[in-house]
Amino acid sequence: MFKKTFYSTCLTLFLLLFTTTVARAEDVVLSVTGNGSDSQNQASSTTDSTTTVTQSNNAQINNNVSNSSDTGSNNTSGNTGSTSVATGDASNSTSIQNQNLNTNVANEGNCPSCATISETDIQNNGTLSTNTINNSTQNNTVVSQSNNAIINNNDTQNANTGNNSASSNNGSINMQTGSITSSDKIVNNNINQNIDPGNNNSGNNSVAIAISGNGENSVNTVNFSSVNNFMSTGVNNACIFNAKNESLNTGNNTASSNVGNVSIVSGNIIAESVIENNNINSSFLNTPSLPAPQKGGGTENNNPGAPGPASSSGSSGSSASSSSGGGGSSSGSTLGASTQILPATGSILTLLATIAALVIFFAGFLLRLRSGMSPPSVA
Amino acid sequence: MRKKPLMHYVGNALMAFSFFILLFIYYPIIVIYLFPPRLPSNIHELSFAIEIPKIHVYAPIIPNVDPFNENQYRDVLHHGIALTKGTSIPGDSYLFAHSSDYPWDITRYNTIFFRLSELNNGDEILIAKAKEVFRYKVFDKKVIWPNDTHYLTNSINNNIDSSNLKNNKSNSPQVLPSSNEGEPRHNRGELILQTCWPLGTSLQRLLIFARVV
Repeated sequence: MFKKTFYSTCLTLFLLLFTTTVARAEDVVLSVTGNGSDSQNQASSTTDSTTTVTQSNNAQINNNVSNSSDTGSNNTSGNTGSTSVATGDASNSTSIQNQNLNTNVANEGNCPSCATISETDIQNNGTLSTNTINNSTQNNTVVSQSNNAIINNNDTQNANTGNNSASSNNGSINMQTGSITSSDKIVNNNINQNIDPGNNNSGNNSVAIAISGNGENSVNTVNFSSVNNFMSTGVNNACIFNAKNESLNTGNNTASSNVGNVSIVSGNIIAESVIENNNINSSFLNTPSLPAPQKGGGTENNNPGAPGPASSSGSSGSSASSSSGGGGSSSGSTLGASTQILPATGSILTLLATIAALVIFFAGFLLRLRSGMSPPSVA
Repeated sequence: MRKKPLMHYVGNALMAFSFFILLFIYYPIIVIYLFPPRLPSNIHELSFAIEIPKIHVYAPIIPNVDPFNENQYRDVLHHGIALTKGTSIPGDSYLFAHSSDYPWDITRYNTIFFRLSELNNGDEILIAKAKEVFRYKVFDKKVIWPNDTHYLTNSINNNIDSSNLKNNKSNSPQVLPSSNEGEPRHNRGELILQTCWPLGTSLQRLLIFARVV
């Protein structure tokens, strides 16, 4: 039993060792050197790396703010003579702020996994030898960013300056209310942002090619290919509900069945309400800078067709063909695409299908005519 | 009896086939003329819909559609008429819908503006929103090229301007003097209806301009 467990653990560790791949910088050195005359030598390397960055944020925020203030239920009833009720000054102030919610920053530190250092040397090979180095590198970077935010802001404000009732009084009554100041603010700022600072695929793709010291009539070729593919996708979904409910009054001020002087003065409600949604669903994307192809590393024979130093007659040619390129493709979900044409609400295929149907009809009609059969006569 | 040659049967088959193709393509359009949809009498109770009595158009309006996002508006146009994002009713608004579509994809909503060109000055357009009916009268008609987007962008910009104006003013809604029908008239605006022209192509765009009455 113990042996079985031991073996199975060893096997698992062994498999893990060989199945786990760690992204790392590639250092490729290809060298064809010191081969004899009339030999044919070839070295090839293909490097293909893919870096995938996936970032996703989900946030749900519920803000429920309720503010209620009143200045008493002022009730004076059945009084004879002067009654004075003076309230006022009920202030409400609320603020809801949602800031910097759901931010993705894709920063791969100049793509460490796809940085490639490549060195190719064809040196000191004999006469009439054929020496070829094929070096192909492809780096793929896929950045996928998504944010989902659901924000519910509910702001309820209730304020009144008393219910102020003075009933069945005989004589002068003076009520003075007023002065409710309400201020509330809902701010949603920087919600759902995807930031890709770029240069995610511009790693250290340095290339050194050296062809030198080869014999007469030798054919030396370096085929170099470097392709960087970059794709970025950003998706933002934001559902923001801002609900405000304000109920403000300066007293219900009732003075009923009074005989004599009644004076009710209210007024002065100042309500300020602000809702701001700033920078909702933004994608900031910089396409990568393409790696600049380099050619060099040798001292004398870096130029295609230049004679090698070992060849006194100059008849030996060294040809280095190197190609490097980069492809950057990026796609982000940005509102308002760059294609500025009005929406297409028709299809040319309807017309084409009609023409095709008519052509088929006439083709059939011609076949009928050429078949020599005349329609059956009635008589 | 003389035997009929093979060409005779092939010719018949091709003619029948072409007839079925034409029927398949144009059946929804034939239906528009022969059996126009009955317009509901309770349009004011519907949440968001358009009615054009003259050409028997009645369809729901789907708001907030990006006119430059083809994938989005193609999907939306299967279910109704698109209201361009950034425009609103009441206010300056820009609506668009199919006059034709892929032959295999023609439905009722994909030919809803097929007869739009029949509208003339003075024709009535009704839009119901939140149990309120806005009446428009056609005052102009234009055919433009697809890259002439200034009518669309003007609609969007005018809405932004008017909403900014509203924000800068008080919170009270902007109510204009009453119309002839006695209804309060909100925020005067222009309505633009767009579809493709000539019919069965996407070569140009037909615009119908209407104003609130």
